[in-house]
Formats: sequence, structure tokens, C-alpha cells
Amino acid sequence: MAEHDWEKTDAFRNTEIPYWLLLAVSAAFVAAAWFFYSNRHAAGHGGPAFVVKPQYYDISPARTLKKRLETEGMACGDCHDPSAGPSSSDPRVAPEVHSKVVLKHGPNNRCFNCHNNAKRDFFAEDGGGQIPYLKVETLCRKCHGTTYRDWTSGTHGRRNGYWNKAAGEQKQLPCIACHDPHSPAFKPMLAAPAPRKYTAPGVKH
Amino acid sequence: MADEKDQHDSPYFHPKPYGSGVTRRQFLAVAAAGAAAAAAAALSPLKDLTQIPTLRQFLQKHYTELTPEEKKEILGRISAEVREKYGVTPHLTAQPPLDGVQFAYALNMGRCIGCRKCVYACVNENNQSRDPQIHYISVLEMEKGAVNVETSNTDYEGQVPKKGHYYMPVQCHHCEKPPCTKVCPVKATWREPDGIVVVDYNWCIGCRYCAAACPYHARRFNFKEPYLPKEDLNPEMGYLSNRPRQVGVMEKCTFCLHRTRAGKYPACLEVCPTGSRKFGNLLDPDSEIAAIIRDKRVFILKQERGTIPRFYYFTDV
Amino acid sequence: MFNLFKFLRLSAAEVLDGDWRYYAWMSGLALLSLAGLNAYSVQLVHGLGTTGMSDHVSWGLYIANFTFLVGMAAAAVMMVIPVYVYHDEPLHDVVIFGELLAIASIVMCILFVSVDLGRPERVWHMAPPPLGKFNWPDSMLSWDVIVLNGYLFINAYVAGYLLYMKFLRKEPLKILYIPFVLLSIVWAVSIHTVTAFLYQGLAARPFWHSSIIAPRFLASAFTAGPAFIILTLQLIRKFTAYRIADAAMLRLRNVVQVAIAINLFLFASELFKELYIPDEHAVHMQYLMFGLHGHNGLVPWIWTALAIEAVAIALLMLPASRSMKWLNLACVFAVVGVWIEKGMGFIIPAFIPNPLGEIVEYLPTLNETLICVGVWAFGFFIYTAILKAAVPILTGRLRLGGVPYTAEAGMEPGGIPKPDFGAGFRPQGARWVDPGPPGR
Repeated sequence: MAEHDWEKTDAFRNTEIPYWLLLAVSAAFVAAAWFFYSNRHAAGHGGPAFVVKPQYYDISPARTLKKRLETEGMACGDCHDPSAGPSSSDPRVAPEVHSKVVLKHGPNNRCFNCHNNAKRDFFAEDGGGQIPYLKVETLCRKCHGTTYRDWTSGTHGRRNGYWNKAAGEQKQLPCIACHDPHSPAFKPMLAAPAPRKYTAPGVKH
Repeated sequence: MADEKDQHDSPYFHPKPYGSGVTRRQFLAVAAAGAAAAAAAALSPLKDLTQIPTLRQFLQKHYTELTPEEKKEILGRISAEVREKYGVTPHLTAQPPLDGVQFAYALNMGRCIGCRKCVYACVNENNQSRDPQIHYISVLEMEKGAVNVETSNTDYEGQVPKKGHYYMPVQCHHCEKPPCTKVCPVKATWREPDGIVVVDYNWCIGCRYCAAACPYHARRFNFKEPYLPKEDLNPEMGYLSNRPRQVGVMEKCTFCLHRTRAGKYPACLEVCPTGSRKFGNLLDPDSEIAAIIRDKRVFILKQERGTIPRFYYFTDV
Repeated sequence: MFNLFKFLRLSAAEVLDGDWRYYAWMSGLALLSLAGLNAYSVQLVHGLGTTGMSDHVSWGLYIANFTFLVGMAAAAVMMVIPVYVYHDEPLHDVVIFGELLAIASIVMCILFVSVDLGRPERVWHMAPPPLGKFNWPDSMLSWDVIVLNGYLFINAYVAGYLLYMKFLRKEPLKILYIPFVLLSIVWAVSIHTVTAFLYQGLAARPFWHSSIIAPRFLASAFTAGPAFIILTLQLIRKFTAYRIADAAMLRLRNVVQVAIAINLFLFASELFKELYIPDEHAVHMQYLMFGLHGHNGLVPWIWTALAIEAVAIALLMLPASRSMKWLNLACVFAVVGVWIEKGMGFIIPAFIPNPLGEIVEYLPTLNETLICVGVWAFGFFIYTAILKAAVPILTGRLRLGGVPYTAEAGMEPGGIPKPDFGAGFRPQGARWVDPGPPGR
């Protein structure tokens, strides 16, 4: 067990606290107080805040359908006499007036596979029937059956509005709202900005 | 006289040599005063503390224990706070889960092009902080040939999709066995009966254990006071979803609870240009989500973690 | 009851009384603690954004220090077992210092967790129902709250009881402390196991999701803790009258020898498992040891830690460390090495890369470091104060009936006015020593 050897512990008791220590400690506390008081970080966000531009969350579909086409159907009747009969020119060659149309629809390079040769304001049903503009999915499903199947069940293509049809309207987009019928492959788009990596001061990433 | 002489002769006597030091008492007094001054100065930054909770806010009970009257009062109080801060009167709801509904989400990996519109639609809808920037959705640019997140990349820019890559957005998967709700020490995050994993922002203590436990990096923490410009506020709010949050609490994707419990689609789905996002009620056989689970090839990210997510990735076939 | 007040009053007086070195040390620690308090005030105002943490690395230096200090607290058991189970003589006189260290360590642990909280005023939410919503038994954090506070209580009670009985010069009743001591053996292992399970249970973090974590924690705790206690005992020897036999130090040295060997072995085992046939999960170890995709922030840390621990184990195994000089060096290295390996080298790599493969590195900010320094300084302050009161009680000088010895009391034992001496005066022998028979 420890002995009563207080000499060792108490020897220092006879030393007084040196002045310089008192001064140093006082100075340190005062300096600390001054430092603490002035240690006020700037409030608010540093640097310009990220602006979420409306185009990043623009809800409109990939293609802009021309209004007149949506409501009135195709404008073929502007040039073509609706009662004119079938064309006799090469069905693979688009006339000069239609030169702006870029046809890249895979192996489907016959205009009249889709367009109704007899009635230019309609699309071509198998057997010569007429598919109105607003029922364009009936046309596409002639070849894209599986996609049409998925479109009707909701698996393909975007739906907007209500998942709960009892609570409100569920809007479905026609095929050509997203796919350009003449070159249906999706064009690359510009991605919205990447996330700003959170960095603490001094950390490189 | 004799006493004095004795005193001087006593081996104990020694005149106090002034000037060589101070007594302990004096030192302690000075040190205590100095320490008190320094302590007061140390606490001085608290002057800038703007958000001291009121007693009512401080004592607010857990969301699941609130009576309807208390809920109403709290919603009113929060609406008032939003009105004061943003100048807009919000429409704040606290909708209960719907009966016979189990929400699930599916994402078509064959069709996502990585445009990130879902990310920003979510930000716009859910009143997220612009600075520090909070995104609930991370879009991974994956290398074709495998599903390997280690070789993926979230900071791609420019025209998408890029050759040789495909895209996989990741957000909260609303797991059936969520590790985040298991580890929360105060049950501030829990799974609602309709499948949505929610956070009570007024109950969270900010320990970030849930963030460590989530295998999908879905949870976000407010390291600073969130900054949201007034004009960007979405006034359609839910208590458990997109009402403005405070510093020091967790948040995450809520499947746009304020929209979906009213029967609407989540914001991320509505904006997707390729229609890759699908959402609905698993229990409804006519819903697109049930059709996907039934007919499509579905897989789950990090399935081996055993969390049983309600977020499925699928391809068209 | 009055004796208890006397005990507390005299202990307090003892804490306030010391020489210039003691005052300088305590003033310095007080200053650092206040710096930490100031930095924490800034953090309270601005949020945890004043730290270097992010959504990617959401736990940092605070939790690293917390993990290390839980280990230090648990190390008391490595003295309790030899003394109370095997009746080891040399350690008998020093086991209380381990218990006192546990008290200071647990206080620091609680402080570190508190400063890490985003909403500290909501701590009451952890109360059991009906007040709060304590998520026991699901959440390991809830277990941690229970075991840490329980351990603090056990150690405070046992140490307090023993010191109080020594003060009263009464024999402590075995029934009132032996059961608690034996409980503390199990409890000490449990605090560190629970803390290990905090990490071990997370399937989302493959770096932690390994059964070896709990054994590693215990091994590193029993390396750093007894090493720190050896260093403390050296200081007690140097500055007080308390006699500590070399045999006690050497027994502790044995503990550290075994523990550091096991610790390094377990680390090597982890390393082998990750790197022999690396799978996807090996990226974390790769980041830690070699860097990943150009990010190598932690590489110097871990290699330094391993080098330091290698030197420590070499020194400890050599007979040279039987001499105090080399033993001290080895102990300092052991503590520092384990701190790095268990702190930065364990907590941070689990977050890099994150579950989605992203890499965001972590570096603590000045504010964060100041808070850590402040908590450590406060812990040292408490530990020094506790020891300052405890040692005189243990030597027998501070006891009931002994005349309170304060420099300015003006009283010399026996009622003679105390004379004033200049600096450095050493009185002769026995006249200063005995205050007289007990019962005054």
C-alpha cells in the first residue's frame, strides 16, 4: 500500500504560482475571448445558388406536334385534291415537295405502307381502309404489335395525370407525340446538369 | 517580544518574498474570471441562432401519435410558418394511406436515356434545397455489359444517351424490409401501410444512422439551412413529403406522397420523355405496374441485401 | 450524510489546489475546451455543414473519436479481470485508475455523439414510451445508449463507493461492490460489442459487414486502453506520492502485447480476405490501402498507422520495453496507431466509394477539429480533476478526520499558524507528515 509520503506530494505546495503564469493565463483567456467573439461564420449560402431552369423539368413530350395537325388532321388536303385517285409515281421516291421528310424507318421505306394512297388525309389500313389521324396507333400496330400491346396496358409510353382512374383522368400520348414517324429513333438530347458534388472546403474530388 | 523572537527563530518562519508569485487563491480568482469571460465569448456565436423552437414545436409528439385536432393545429402552424417565410399560402395536407393500395415503381432500363429531367422535376415538386443542392434521384451512367455500379458515373454531361452506356436512375426504393427504419433510434422514419417509407421531419434527431444503413444512397441530410427561392416554392404540400424542411433533419424520395395518395402520378414519372417510369398500385391487376411484374423481365438492384425494394427495373421483353 | 458532504467538499478543495504545473495544465485544457465550445456554438447556428461531412461520407471525425473512446472505456476490464477474478496482486492498487478512466472516456463518448447530432435538442425523443419513441431492440443505437450510460453508472458507483470508504477509513462492504465489479466485466465487453454491432449489422456497407469487426474492436481497445493507462500510471508516479510497482506496469504490458498481436493479426486477416480474390466489395480496402481511381486521401494515414503499430509491437515484444522509457514510447505508438486505424481507417473507408460507386472524399474542417480537440481537452480535464482528488484519498492523506490541507488555510497540523515559505523550500522530514490520530 502507498505510504504516508506526503513530502513528495506536498513539496510543491510551498511553491507559489509564478507571476508569469498568471499573466500568461490571463492573456490567453483574453485572447481566446477575443478570438471566440470574432469567430462568426458567414451565414447563408456561399456562392450563387443553383438555378433549376424550367427546361430541366419541362413536361412536354419529345416532339412538338403542330397544332393544326392535332386538331384538324394532316394538311395533305392543302395540296392534294381529296378526291384525286392514287398516285402513279414510284412509291419509294418522295416528290420534291416532300424533300424535307427524312425517311429512316428501318426496312419500311414505302410511303404508302403508312399513308393512304387513295385518301391522303388518312393513313392506310390493311386492305385499303382508312385510319384517321387521331387513331394513329391503329396504323403503328400493323407492324409494332408487341409495342402496341404494351402501350395499351400502359407499359410503353408515358401516361400523365392520375394512376387511379377513379380519382381523375389518365392521359395517354399518341405514338407520334414522342416518335417522329418518318425517323422514329429517339434523337439524343442534352442532359440536364450533373449534380454538384458536395465538397467541404479543401477537399478535392 | 519573546514571541516575536521565537517566531523569527522558528524554522517554520520565512518572510513572504513579495513579487515572486501570487497565492493560489489569487490565481484561481483571476483564472475563473478569465474563464468566465472566455466562456461567454465562446458562446457568443449563438447570437446568430435564428431558429429557436417554440415550446409547442419542441414538445410536438411523433406523427403517428397525434390526435386529429393536434394534427390540424400542427398543419395550421406549419402553413403559417411557410406563409411567413415565403409569402405564399400553402395547401398542406396530411393524407392517410389509401386502403387496398400497395405502391410500387418500375423503371424501364431499356428506355431511359439519362436526361435527368426526373431529377429536376422532383426538385421542382418537392421544395428541395437549391443550396446545398439536394437531389433525391441519382442517375447512374452504366457501362454496357454488366450491372456494375462500381464502374458507373453520376457526373456525365452533354448529349445523352452516350454510346456504350445505359442509364439507371436510383432513388429511395421504399423497401419492404427497410434497413433505415430498423436502425433509427427514435423511429422518426417508418414504413406506412401503403408501402411508402416516410420521415417525420419534426421528430428526426439527425444522427444519420439511416443514411449509413441505406444500400441505395437514397437518404439526404440537411447539413445547412435549406435555401429555396420564394418563387420556386410548390404550395401543394404534404406533411410527410414536400413541406419545407429544416437544418439537421433527414429527407428522401417519398413517392410524391402528397400527389400519389390523391391518385396522381409522381412528378418524376410525369416528366420522363421516354415513358420509362411506371407507378401504381400493385394490388390492382389492371395497373401498368401489375402488368410489368406479371409480363416483363424484372430485376432488383442489390437484391442480395435482402431489403425487398418496391422499385423494380425492367426491360421491354 | 454529513460525511458525504465533507467528502465532496474536501475533494473539491483538493481539485482546486495544486502547483503551477497543475494550474498551467488545467488552464490550457480549459482554454481548449472553451475553443471547442465556441466551435460547437458555430455549428449549432449553421448546422453540420461546418464540418467536412456530406451525404456521401455522413459520419466522420466525431464518430471516429467516439468509436476509439468506447474502446478506451472498455479497457478497464483488462485490469478488473486479473484483480477480481485471478486476485493478481500488482494490479490491485491500480485497478481503480482504469475505472476512473472509464468514467472520463464515457463522458467523452457521450459528448462526441451529442455534437454529431443534427438536432441535439430532440435527444429526449430517445426516451422510452410514452415520452419518446425509443427504438429498442431494433436499433443498435438504442442498445448503445443503454449500455454506455449503464457502464458510466457502474464505474462511477464502484469507484465512488471505494473512494468514499477509503476516505471514511472503513472497510468497503464486499456485497456492495463486488457484484457490480463482476457485472462491469461483462458490461465492458458488451459496450464495445454493441458499438461494433452498430457497424457490423449494416449490410449496406460491405466494409463493415464482417463478423470480424467485434473481435477487432475488442483487440484494439485492449491495446490502446491499457497502453494509455500505463502512461497515466507513469504520470501518477511522477507527480504524486502514490506508489505504483513496476510489476503493475509490466502486467499491463503483457496485456498490451497480446492485444496488439491479436489486433494486427485480425487486420491482416481482413486484408487477406479482401485482396486475395477481390470481389466488388474489395474496393473499400483498396481505397484505404492503395487509393482508388486517383483518390488516395487515406493511404498515408493507414500506412502510418500500420508502421507505428509495427514499431509498437516490436518494442513491446523485445525485453527492452521492460524499461519504462521504451515502454512509454511503445505505449504512445500503440495509442496513436490504434486511433488512426480504428478512427479514420475504419469509419471513413466504409463510405468511399458509396453504395452507388461514387467517390467523395472526406477531410475534417477546422471547426470540426476544434470541437474534437475541445471534447478531448474536456475529457482530460475531467480525468485530471478526478485523479487529483482520488490519489490523495488513496494515499490516505485526504481522509475523514485529517486536517484539510489547503495552502491558504493558514493552519498547520496541530493548530499552529502555518508559516509562509518561499519558493522551493523543502521542510525537513517528519514534522510535516502526520496530522495526528484519527477522530479529530
